[in-house]
Amino acid sequence: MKTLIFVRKTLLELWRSPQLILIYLFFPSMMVLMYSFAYGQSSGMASYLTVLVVNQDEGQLGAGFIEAMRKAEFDGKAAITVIEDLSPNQAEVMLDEGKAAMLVTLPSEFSAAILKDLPEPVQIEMLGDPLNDTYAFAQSFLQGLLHIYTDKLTGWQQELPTKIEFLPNTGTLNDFQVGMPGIVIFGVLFGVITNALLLTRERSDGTIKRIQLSKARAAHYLGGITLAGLILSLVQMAITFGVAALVGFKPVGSLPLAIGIGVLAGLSATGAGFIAAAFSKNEGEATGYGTALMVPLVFLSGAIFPMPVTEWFSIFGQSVQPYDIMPSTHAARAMSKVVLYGQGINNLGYELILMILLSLVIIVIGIWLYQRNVLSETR
Amino acid sequence: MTNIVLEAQNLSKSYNGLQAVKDLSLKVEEGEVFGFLGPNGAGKTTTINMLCGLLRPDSGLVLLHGKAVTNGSKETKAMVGVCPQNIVLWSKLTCLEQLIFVAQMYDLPERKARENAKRLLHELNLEEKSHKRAGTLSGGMQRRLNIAMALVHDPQIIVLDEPEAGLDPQSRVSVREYIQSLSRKKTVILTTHNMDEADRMADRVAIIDHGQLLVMDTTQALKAQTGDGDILEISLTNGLTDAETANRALIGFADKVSYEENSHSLHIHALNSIAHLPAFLERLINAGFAPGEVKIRQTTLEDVFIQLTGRRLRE
Repeated sequence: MKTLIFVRKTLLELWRSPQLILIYLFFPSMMVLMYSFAYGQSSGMASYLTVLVVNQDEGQLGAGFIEAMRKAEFDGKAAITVIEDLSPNQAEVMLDEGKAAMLVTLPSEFSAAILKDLPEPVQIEMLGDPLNDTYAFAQSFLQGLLHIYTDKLTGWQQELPTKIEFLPNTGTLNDFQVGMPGIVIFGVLFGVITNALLLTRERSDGTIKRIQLSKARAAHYLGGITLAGLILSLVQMAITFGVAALVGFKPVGSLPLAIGIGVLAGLSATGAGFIAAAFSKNEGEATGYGTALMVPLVFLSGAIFPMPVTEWFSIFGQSVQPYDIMPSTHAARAMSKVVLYGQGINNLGYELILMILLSLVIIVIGIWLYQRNVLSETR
Repeated sequence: MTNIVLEAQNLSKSYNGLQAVKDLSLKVEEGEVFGFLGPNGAGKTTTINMLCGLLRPDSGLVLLHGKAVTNGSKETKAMVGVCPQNIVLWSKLTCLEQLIFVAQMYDLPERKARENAKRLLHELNLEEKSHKRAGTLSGGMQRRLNIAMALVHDPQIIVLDEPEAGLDPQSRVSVREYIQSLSRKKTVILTTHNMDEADRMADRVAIIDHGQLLVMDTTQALKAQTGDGDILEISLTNGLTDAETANRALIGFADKVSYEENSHSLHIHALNSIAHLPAFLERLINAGFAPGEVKIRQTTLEDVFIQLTGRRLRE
């Protein structure tokens, strides 16, 4: 079958291009290692709750609250590290550098306010950077803690209206672990550039003419490259998750399913590579156009950081957002569901169907453009 | 009765307003070596690309065995093998791998593809390099592999675009001999700007310039058109360059006199030119010419081209 001869040729050429094959196979692993080094040392969200405290309370309850903070636990571990006796300057520096979640100032009337129920409410200052996600968590956690503390003292019996909980295993995830699904998808999508380069090399070397002269069609040629890409994605995913395991990451859900999602995500990289190659006459252009396509696929998919929720419309109860037109969005979601939340294939129907369909759309567009711009005999 | 395998009828092609090929018609007979001779930019490659289906003509028809073929049709592709002017190889594949790959692109089963590939590597003295990557071969070997790629699927018509370009003399001889051996079994279309190449290898030659076919015939017939006998080239050292004056001066002695601008020389076609040389020189001096260097040679296709265009093939 003509498609298979192109699979074989593509794999042979890549195998004999060490720079290209090494980047293709090991780029996601490099990202995993870098991310693990940068973000993988801490043990979860709660460990970031370093709280600075200035206790101006004239009574005893301020110290009591500080003690309650020290004893507070989350997911079985100490939740807060309290630092007292800092000067205002020192406190400001720590907040600026992100070394503390917030500065809590207990006013002089803190004890009086709890015991005597003063006519004016007492303000407890909680100073921090709202862009820092640990500040938001600390604020929420401490407010809850304060309610519990004051209710105990005043004998106020009430059920707390809210209870903060995280999904199992997620509250103690550090940034590396949370970012792992996105890293994998980013690495897969780097294949856009590799595929674009592979196809453009054929054009710049002139060997595309041999293919044009033969009985092979665009579908054979590009189909072969697609299949070769799937094989390589499989190897790439195995290496990536292997390296992740070495630095202590294990997917909560099924590893074969996670690898399968990564391989299927590679389809969109292949299609985008075809589109880039359709407009590229040399390797410089292939890199440029490939990057231009890869960047939105990665960054607008939510793979690296969450995108704001913007609903276009909903269909059968499923909210559809602008980013949903990209297969990488669904790939990132599916990967997170499996790797972080341990969900199975039964919960991935929507993501998998859209990922595959949208990837096929991109591939068809890529084949059409490549056929029209490069393989066409009309010149 | 000759069998016409390939025919072009009134082919024309323009690029951005520039007429590359204009109303070109020709017929190629089965089993012949057909030469396309013309300077760089004459339209040879454009014509070849239209004949092979790589380029759609603006107007005109290509007929294969009398049947009009649409450009890029599978029929054309199966019957024609093209060796492009540039060396076009996959540098990461070995000689054997890429020949098999090309053959399989033409639907040859792997066994037959391998058989053809090995045979061609042997015939073109590349057997030792079968398992070497094409990127490691010398230029001459790459060019021979380039030719093998055009032949591996066993086409009936072989198009060779400047097959000797970039080859050392020894390689040129072996390629030439190989092409001549092909002509007994295949139809070969050869494009070249090298008159010697065309003269030695082609049975018939079409001379093309500025996209138009100037003349088409056997090499002997074309050379005979320029005149009988040998050619004397006499360089001129003063300003007088008028061929008409020279013709009048040599009337009765020379068959034809022309002036070649680039070399500032008179080209005199004459029988027994050695014997008549003193008389030629005397008459030219009396007519006001200042002859310098004298050369004598046989008629070539370049003389045909000069006669038709007033220019040399190599500008």
